Order: sequence, then C-alpha cells, then structure tokens
Amino acid sequence: MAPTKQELSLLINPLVPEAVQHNNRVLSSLHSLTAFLLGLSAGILALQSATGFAFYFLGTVLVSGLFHLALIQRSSGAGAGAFFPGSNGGEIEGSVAIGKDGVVRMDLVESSKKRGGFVLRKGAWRDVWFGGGVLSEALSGFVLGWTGVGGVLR
Amino acid sequence: MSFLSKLVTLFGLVLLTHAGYSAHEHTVLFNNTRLALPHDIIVETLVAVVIVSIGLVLGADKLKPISWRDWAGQIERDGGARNPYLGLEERYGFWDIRAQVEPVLAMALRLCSRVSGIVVEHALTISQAKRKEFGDWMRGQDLPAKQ
Amino acid sequence: MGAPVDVREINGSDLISALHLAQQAPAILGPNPTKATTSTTGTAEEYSQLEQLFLACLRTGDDQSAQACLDRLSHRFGPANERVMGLCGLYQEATAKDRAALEKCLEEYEKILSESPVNVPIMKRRVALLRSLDRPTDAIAALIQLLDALPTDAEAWCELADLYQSQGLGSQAIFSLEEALLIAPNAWNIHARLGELLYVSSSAPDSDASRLGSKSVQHFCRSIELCDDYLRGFYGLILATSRMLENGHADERPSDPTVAPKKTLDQLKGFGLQRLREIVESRSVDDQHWASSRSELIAAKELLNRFTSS
Repeated sequence: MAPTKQELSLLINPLVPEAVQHNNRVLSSLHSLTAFLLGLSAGILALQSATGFAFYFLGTVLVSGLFHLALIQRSSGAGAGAFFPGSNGGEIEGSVAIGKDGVVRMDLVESSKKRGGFVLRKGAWRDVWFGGGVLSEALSGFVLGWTGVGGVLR
Repeated sequence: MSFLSKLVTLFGLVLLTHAGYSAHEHTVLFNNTRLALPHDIIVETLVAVVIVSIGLVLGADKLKPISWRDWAGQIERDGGARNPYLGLEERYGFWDIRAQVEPVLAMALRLCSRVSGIVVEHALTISQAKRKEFGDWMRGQDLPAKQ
Repeated sequence: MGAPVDVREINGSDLISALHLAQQAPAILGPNPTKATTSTTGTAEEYSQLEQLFLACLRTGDDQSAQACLDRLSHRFGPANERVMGLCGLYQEATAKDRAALEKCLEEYEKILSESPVNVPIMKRRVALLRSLDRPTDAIAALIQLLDALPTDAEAWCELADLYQSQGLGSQAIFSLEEALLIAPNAWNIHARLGELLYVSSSAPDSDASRLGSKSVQHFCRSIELCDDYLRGFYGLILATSRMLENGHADERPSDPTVAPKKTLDQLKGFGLQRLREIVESRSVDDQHWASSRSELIAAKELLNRFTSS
C-alpha cells in the first residue's frame, strides 16, 4: 500500500511528541480556567438556558482568538502549524509525494513561501479553536461555575 | 507567568468579585430575581471577563515548537547536552574507562596552569603519580576548610 | 541533593563539565560518603544522576567517591541488578592495577555470562574490555553475538560501526550505522556520523567514489533537515560537496539517478557556506556560552577561511 500523505509528511518533517503533549496541556488548562471564569460570570449575569451556552461559546471564541493572536505574534508569523499538529496529525500544506525514482519530494504552498518558508500544517488552526477540551472538560467546568454562582448569588 | 499578566488577571478578578457582590446585594435589596440587573453591573462583568481572559492568555505557559528540526536545533544551540541520541555516540555501556582517565589528567593540568604557579607544580607531580593520589588531590580541592 | 550544577545538563564528552561534577562529589554525597544511607527511597531521576556522578568520579580518578556512589546504587537495587553489575565491573576495570587484573575481570564477566547469557550490561562491558585489551576481532565477535540476541540495540550497532571503522572495514561500518539508523531514524548526529564515514570511505583508492560521495552528501543533508543550524552537518556538507566537485565526480547528467547532478552540488555547497558563515557569526558573539563546542567553532572558521581565500 502506498504511504499516505500524512505518513510522508511525518517522514520528512517529524514531530516531537513531548512538545505536542505540552502544547495540548497548555491549551486545555487555559480553556478549563477560562471556562470556569465564564461560568462565574454567567452566574453573576443570571443567564438562563440557551443564552448561557451562547455566552460560553462567545467567550471561548474570544479566548481562542486572543490565544491565536498571541501565538502568531510570539512565533514571528509561523502560525498555529508551528505548535499544533492539526486534525490530520502533522500533514503539511503543500505537496508531498514519492517520485518515480523513489525520492520523496516536498513542495510548500505559495502562501507559506511568501511568509518565509514556514511549514504550515493542515487544520492546525482547528486545534487552537476547537481543541483543548472545549466541548468536554471545559464545558463541564463552565456548568459547574454557572450553577454554583447562580445558586449562591440569586 | 509574568508580573504583568499576574497584575492584569488580579485586577480582572477584583472587578469580577465586585460585580458578583453588587449583583448579590442587588438581589437581596430588591428581593426579586426577575428584576433585570442594572447596566453598570453587566458592563463591569463583561469587562472583567475580557480582562481576566487577556491576563490568562498572556500568562499561559510558553508553547514549544513541535517540528523536529526546531526542537533539535534548540538542543544543539544549548550545547547538545540534552540530545537524546548523544548516548549513541558516547556509548556509556561500552566505555573504555582506562582510556578515559588520561585525557582528564591533561585537562586538569591545563585548567590548573591558569590558576597559579604553585598549583601547576602540584599538578605536574600528580600527573606522574598514580591515579589514586590524583583522586585524593581532586577531593582535596573542594574541601579547603577541612584541611 | 543540593548540587549547584544541574547534573542533567552535563555533556558526557565535555571534560570540563565532568571535572566540575566530580569535584562536587563530596558535597553531593554528604559528610559521610563511605557509609551508605539506610533509606531506599528516591526518584528514578536521582539515581540516574548518581550514576552520572559515578561515571564522572571514575573518570577523574576519584575512586573513593565512586565507591560511595556504587554502594548507594547497589544498596537500593541490590548487587544482582544487571545495571549495577555492569557498573561494578566498570569500577573493577578502572581500579585494576595491571593486565592480569583486567584478565581476571574478563574471566569474571565470562562466569556471569555462563550463568545468565543475556545480561546486556555485562555483555557490553565484556566487549569494551576486549577492545581495551587490544583484541578487536574477539570484541567484534562478542558484539555480533550480542546483536544476534538483541538486534534492536542502536548503541551496540554504533559501537560495532566504530569497531569496524577502527579495523579499516569501511563498508561494514557503514552497514552497521545504517542498521542503527533503522532503529533511530531521526537521530541527526548519527546521520552526520554516517555522512562522515561515507566521506572517509569515498577517499579510499579502490572505492566507488561518486556513489559513496553522493550518499555522504545525502546523509549530511538529512542531518541538516532534522536539526536547524547543525554546525557539524553543514561542515560535512561543504567538505563532501567540494570533494565531489573537485574530483570531477559531478556530471551534468549523471547516469546513476541517485547521484546528484553538478548544478545541485554547486547549489548545496553555496548554501552550506552561507549558512555556516551565519552560524559562526552568531555564535562567536558570546564565546562563553559556546565553551563546550569551541573546537567545532574554530574548525568551522578555518574551513570558511580556506574557501574565502582560495
């Protein structure tokens, strides 16, 4: 079976599992902290049912946006691909293929060449915006803060 | 977490606490949960959320580059001591300990020659002496107070 | 353990740091180093630090502290632990007075191995001792025996490559390193090492110089690809490409598809020179930080001077 594009990407440009884990941990701890905080605020504002969840998603979008901005600024423009492997597990943007002579060739996409030859990873931004347990652990933290404060204050 | 981000987060938390306390007092005062909150409390809460978020994002741990080449390059720039594959070139399991001792003697001589003439003399004598004496001398260097 | 120097940062090949570490041995081991502590607790990290300290002490001739380290390790893990047995053997080798004592060590190893044939640390010590006793053929045979039992040990493959190289068997050494790379495909220093071996082999008179040289260029390229700003990789790349160009092994259109054409080699050489210059400039700014790799830096500067003057 011919190797997939993701396998070839990892062959040419391997990932450091330790660093991937560290980054995911940083992201999920940030999301759980801010989700609890959003829960407290939702309780203070006495939001109910759908409004509360809408507030949570807006707040998460705000935090992810801020995080993404900080990340681009700190990595001097390399973007999310420098820190997150993306939904396809490290597949890079551009073409990677085995030629007829058995040599693996990699071509970066135009947009990454313009930005200074950084490796872009497919769907890495999705890790920043939807990763880190936004829909699981962080959401339960939000509900905890929301109901707790709502019960005490009002 | 830097000082700035701590300060921002703390300020945001103070605002949030104040908003929460105000909301509580408002509820107690009017004894009616259906009554809408005053606008200033709502605005204060929202501002507090934004400020704390900024503080937390700024204070988040630094991300590490996941590309192998960036990570490896950083290790080499730090002198290569953390290279996980260093063992393949050092090969501690196959160490020829007898060949390792002599170069250190030479190195010790070079280090000592910078310190003082007396030490050089001492080092010259030990280089001709046996390993054990050199070892004792090495230990002695560290404990001048006890001598 | 209140060691002022972070023990994990010690680079084994760096003599100065080994010396510094060994000098702290009395402080790390405490006021009464000969008496082993009764506690059997401690993290795995602490014990690996103790092992490093043991090696550094042996290296600097501080046998007394080394004995104390060994006592602690064997107190914790028991004298029958394979790793402790290996360290114990190392200690005996280091303190052996003459050749007869070393032969006795060898007998000891063989006795242990006849009881437990796959005691890997002792097998490795035996190979090292045979090599130290100037019996490289026996060492190679013993090492091949080890690799038959344990073909996934990259360290052993690298040692085998080194042994072959010391015997002038270039192609066998290259094969062994390629085996090691199958186990650790991302090890940039082993890629560079293999490039160096290929470079050396390509200078032998009866060798297929263009193929070996081209393979050497490939491996140096891979080491640079795996490690940003890798000085050793760039150094080798420049040497390998310029030899290919000078000796006329570079064709415009090579018949063998794995051999790079002349234009690519020219580009690679130019790229290597440019990057090496950048690295040397950035590193000589603060010399102190590069204390451990100063010799590498000096060699790189000399290489650059040679190319700018010619």
